[in-house]
Amino acid sequence: MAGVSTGARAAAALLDQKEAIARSVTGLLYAEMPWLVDKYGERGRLKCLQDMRYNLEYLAPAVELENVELFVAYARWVDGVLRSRGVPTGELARSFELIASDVAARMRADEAALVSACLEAGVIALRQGGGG
Amino acid sequence: MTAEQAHDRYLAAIRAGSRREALAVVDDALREGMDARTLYLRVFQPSMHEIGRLWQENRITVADEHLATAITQLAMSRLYEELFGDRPEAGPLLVAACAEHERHELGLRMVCDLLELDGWDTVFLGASVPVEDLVEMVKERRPEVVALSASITPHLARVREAVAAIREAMPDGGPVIAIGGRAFAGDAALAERMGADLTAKDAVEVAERLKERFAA
Repeated sequence: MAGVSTGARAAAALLDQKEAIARSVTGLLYAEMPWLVDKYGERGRLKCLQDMRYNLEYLAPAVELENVELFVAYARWVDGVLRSRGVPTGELARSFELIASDVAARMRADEAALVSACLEAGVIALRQGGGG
Repeated sequence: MTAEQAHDRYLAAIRAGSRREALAVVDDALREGMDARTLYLRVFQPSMHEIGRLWQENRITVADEHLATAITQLAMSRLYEELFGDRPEAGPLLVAACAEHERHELGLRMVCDLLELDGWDTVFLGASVPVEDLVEMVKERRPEVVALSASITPHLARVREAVAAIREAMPDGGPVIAIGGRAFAGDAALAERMGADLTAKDAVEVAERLKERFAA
């Protein structure tokens, strides 16, 4: 039996702590962008929380396989979905950055580095995509 | 009616949620001599990709998308009745299943139908098949090929588990394992890491690859 890779450990940790990370990041995003409450209403906050869970569910396989492209493809796709529903790229990109910093405080450095690599590639792709 | 015209008419029908019109397009196309493969390749598959894109762009709802999917399943059943009567051929056997939790089953069903057109025998298990039950079925039926589908990357882990479980249950003379769905996007290296033998970018191409592989 092969040893468990760093990626697999990091992915498992992301899924184990999905709820806590999603709640923490949603709180941080709303603290940074208090106008989101008026913009999306109370229901928007719940949708944001659900979107954070999705972000983490899609992040996990990319981290596990150490395949940044998997997350980049998701980032581009979900950006299209969200923009067409009035959520600008900047909010998605910021949420990726907040996930990276939250994870850095929760996980071992080598695990967090893999997570961060995926998220950073996602942010770069979003900025290149230029949805505003 | 050209394939393009059939596509445009069919897409309009499923966007409008009209079963009757969608089936009329299939009937008209068949009557005018269009073959089933063209219907899958040029009408069903691109129309459903367009439906997915329209959802992504917030131009249709999830309910609209589900309605379009249900109509296309019906249209495919209609085509099946027309084309697949009693077939004496004993081509390769394929067992097809969506990864556990995966609910997008249309592409995999297209793979099955396209292979049946070529004389294959297929067992389509549909959405969200638990790994253990899939392995039991594979051990019992001994197919030449198992095709597994996942549309989103969160389901990749289940695909890998299924591949590993099949290999473990049948260490010698086990099936060729093909994997596909949007989660793979035709990424052969990713498919290989999942332990699979083969992948392709869409349903039509997966069927082509399998046909090539088993061509006499």
